[in-house]
Amino acid sequence: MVVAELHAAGTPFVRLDPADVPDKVVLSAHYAHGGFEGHLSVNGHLLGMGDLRAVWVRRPGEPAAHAAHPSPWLTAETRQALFGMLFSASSRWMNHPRNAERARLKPWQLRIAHRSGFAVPPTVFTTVPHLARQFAEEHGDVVVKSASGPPPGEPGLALPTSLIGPDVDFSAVAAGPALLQRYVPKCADIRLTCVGTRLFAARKTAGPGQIDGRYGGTEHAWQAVPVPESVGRSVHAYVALAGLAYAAFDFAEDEDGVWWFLECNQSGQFGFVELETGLPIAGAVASWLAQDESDQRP
Amino acid sequence: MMTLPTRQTTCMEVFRVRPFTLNYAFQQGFRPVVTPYRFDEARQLNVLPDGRPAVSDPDLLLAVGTTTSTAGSQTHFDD
Repeated sequence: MVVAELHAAGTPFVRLDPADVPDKVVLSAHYAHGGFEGHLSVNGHLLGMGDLRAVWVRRPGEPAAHAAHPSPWLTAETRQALFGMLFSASSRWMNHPRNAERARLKPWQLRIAHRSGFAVPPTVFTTVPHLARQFAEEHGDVVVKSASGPPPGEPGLALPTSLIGPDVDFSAVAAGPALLQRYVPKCADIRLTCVGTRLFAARKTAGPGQIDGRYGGTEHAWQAVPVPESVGRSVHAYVALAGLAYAAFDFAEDEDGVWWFLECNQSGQFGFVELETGLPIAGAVASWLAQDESDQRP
Repeated sequence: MMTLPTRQTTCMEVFRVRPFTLNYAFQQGFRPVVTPYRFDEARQLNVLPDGRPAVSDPDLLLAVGTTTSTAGSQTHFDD
């Protein structure tokens, strides 16, 4: 979708997967006489680091994973070469890998959300069973959620946000950090996509008793909605604190219309939102990427 | 006031127990996703069998949904 927008605008770009270095992607960086020159080439497309305006990071593969003879060492060398060269260029990132890595940490997200003025449900992340029990007793309806998603390497295994039943045995909390959060009875899910300073919000009515909007279909569709002023201020504060050019926020809207912060995904999908609502998110991403250094728009 | 215990269980006892959060995991069935488009290296985007960009068929994209890509972003229609 973004690529189609870049084509339409006549914006030159090169698309590559780090996994394809060195077999399909050729790279070379030269540091001499106090200067730096670098080039990337893939599928007949050539990119000079001096011409690089922006980098869009979108689910890259592990460096050199597709090499004829992959190895951890080759991955490490390739990561050094590729990202060392890209970081040497004067370009903008959506999002910079260093900020993206920190932004993935859910406990850190909650702290930044607090500082940004969002409504954040009380949350505990603990390996102490009696503290988990204490939290559940204090807050009543509590959900458990995974910070990192389902265990990798187990296709088909789902790990949705789940409501904890009464009289739960918390002893297994000692076997690994458990993230518990006060349950927000929601009327709707909100997905807010932030591209630079532009905000795009969509709302989907929740099904009866639906806990995790990612699981279980409903007859409701996503609809574009305006962003409340206070939420907009908090979003701008959040992305500034986090150093993000793109972010997809998930909120639970309660019966009073309050948008409760659940998480911020620094690489969250937007295609499904645009296709259902018509919100021009792909165009916004393409515009942001196409700006040059003289363009002062954030 | 929160207090942390000085000792909970031995390491051996902890590792016999499945972490609490995984008690809420379930198998939903794995269906390999076959995307009805391929990556065109010259145009650097996904195209349908007839050569049109995949984004020219939004109904198809919605029906396919997102893919689980292990090869970077080439199969993900957001891009």
